[in-house]
Amino acid sequence: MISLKHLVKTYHGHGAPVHAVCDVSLDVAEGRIYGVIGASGAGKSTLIRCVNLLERPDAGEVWVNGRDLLTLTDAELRQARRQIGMIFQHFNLLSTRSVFDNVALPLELAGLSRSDIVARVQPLLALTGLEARANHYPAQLSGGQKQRVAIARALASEPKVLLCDEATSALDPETTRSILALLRDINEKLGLTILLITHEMDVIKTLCDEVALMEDGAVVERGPVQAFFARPQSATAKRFVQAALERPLPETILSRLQSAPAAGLDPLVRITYVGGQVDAPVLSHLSREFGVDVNILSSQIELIQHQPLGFMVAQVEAQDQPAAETALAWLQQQELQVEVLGYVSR
Amino acid sequence: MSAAKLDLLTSSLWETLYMVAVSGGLGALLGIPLGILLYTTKPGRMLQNHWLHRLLGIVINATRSVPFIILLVAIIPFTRWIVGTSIGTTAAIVPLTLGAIPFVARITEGALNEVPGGLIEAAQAMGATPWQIVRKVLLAEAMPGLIHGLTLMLITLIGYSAMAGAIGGGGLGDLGIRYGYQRFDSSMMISTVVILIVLVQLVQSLGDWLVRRYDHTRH
Repeated sequence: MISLKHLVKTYHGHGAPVHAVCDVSLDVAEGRIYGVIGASGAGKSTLIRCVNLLERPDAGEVWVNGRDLLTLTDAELRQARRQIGMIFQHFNLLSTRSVFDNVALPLELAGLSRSDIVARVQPLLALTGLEARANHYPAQLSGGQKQRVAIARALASEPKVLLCDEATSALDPETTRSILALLRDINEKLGLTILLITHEMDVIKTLCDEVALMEDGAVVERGPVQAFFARPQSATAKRFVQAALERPLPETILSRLQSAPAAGLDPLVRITYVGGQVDAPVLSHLSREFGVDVNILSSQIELIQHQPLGFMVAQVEAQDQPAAETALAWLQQQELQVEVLGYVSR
Repeated sequence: MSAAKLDLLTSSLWETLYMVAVSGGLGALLGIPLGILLYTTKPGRMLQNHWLHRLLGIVINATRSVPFIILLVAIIPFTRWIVGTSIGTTAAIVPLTLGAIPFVARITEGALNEVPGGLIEAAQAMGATPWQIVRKVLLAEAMPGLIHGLTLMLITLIGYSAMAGAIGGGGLGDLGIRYGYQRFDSSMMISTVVILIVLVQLVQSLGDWLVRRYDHTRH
């Protein structure tokens, strides 16, 4: 549905040129929810703005709905844009228009009659839970309600694709959840393809099917959300996943952490397990077979795409160093991801 | 106050209203499009044209820097060419309009500048044409600021119109000068000033009321 090919966008301002997007290719299949995550300045905002040519890339192709937008005339591009809805971090509602008239705007622009507009807008207000607010003005609404108006407006011209530019970044956590639920709902009800950018891993975790991680204008990692969380490859991805999912270890343990094994020190391991492995009693087996004590320091389970994903940090207390190594070797043979974080004294 | 003086006051009031209304209307009619052009030709905007933008800016600034009393007499040939005479109330409308146009253009540009860029992007993303963006987004959103500015323009024109007497334009200001100042008729002076104060108050109140009607940002 969306296919970006070798996009390049460089800004020439004062000083050195800024390579906002360097050779990014990205495919979003119909009906999928694709998230692009990255720190601010990673180029994700420029990338999403290239999809409806609010920003014109210097090189590359932008295919949406089977057409390369860069080859279209101005008039054709305007037509194509009506098939691409967009919502923004700061909502961008017209303050002088009521909720109803804001949602009606794209239809007015397309030249629909008033009766057709009413027939289209009413169900959208119902879908987004705004029926009671039709005659309110944006200044009278909360942030979440404003984003609902923006979503209804984006859907008015019945687009195939919805672009979300940091759509929940200005909202509190609870409102964010309700907006994400609404996006999921319209994705399922209308079969809408969604491309979103965010710096919040929670958005990726709760909403997306696929994810791409951007850093310095390039995609450094991509794939299904499950795999991204369970087996991040790049250092940046690991940092993002850890920051999003794991509670940091207490300072009292971190300060005692040594990088090399030594007598009197126990290995501290992080175990990541996915899906069915959650149920396997690996640790009690380890304890029974190898005569080690396992001291669990932290443990948690997250649901990602309806699949459990577990993280655990444990201190493996064995009689001596060789015994600890044997136990670890067995652990690493299991279908788990085991990482030795370091060594701590008891 | 005698009936003759009362007649003078009412006819002068009508002259002022006529001059201000017609020049204000024409000033808005010509100044607003000029302001839109000024806004849209700025580099980075939809009709960006660096030279046109610079040229408009220079012409507008030049017109605005000429003191009105000088403009009034300096353009007499132009006035005669437009309305066929250089003396009288109708003749005064030409310089008043010419003074109002650049004023309105700057006010319009300023009001449009206040519209957040995100709204224009949102409209572009919806597939709006440049003209639709101007009409449905820019002008609509700038309406409160525009009305506020036009109110200011009308009040300035009421002030300018007092100088119209220099070319026989009549009006309340002229009456005040000729009777109140030159003939030491204090009652006439006070009357014209009071009427002008009331007139300005009315215009300002009407403007404020209209701004409140269009402005939905404060609740």
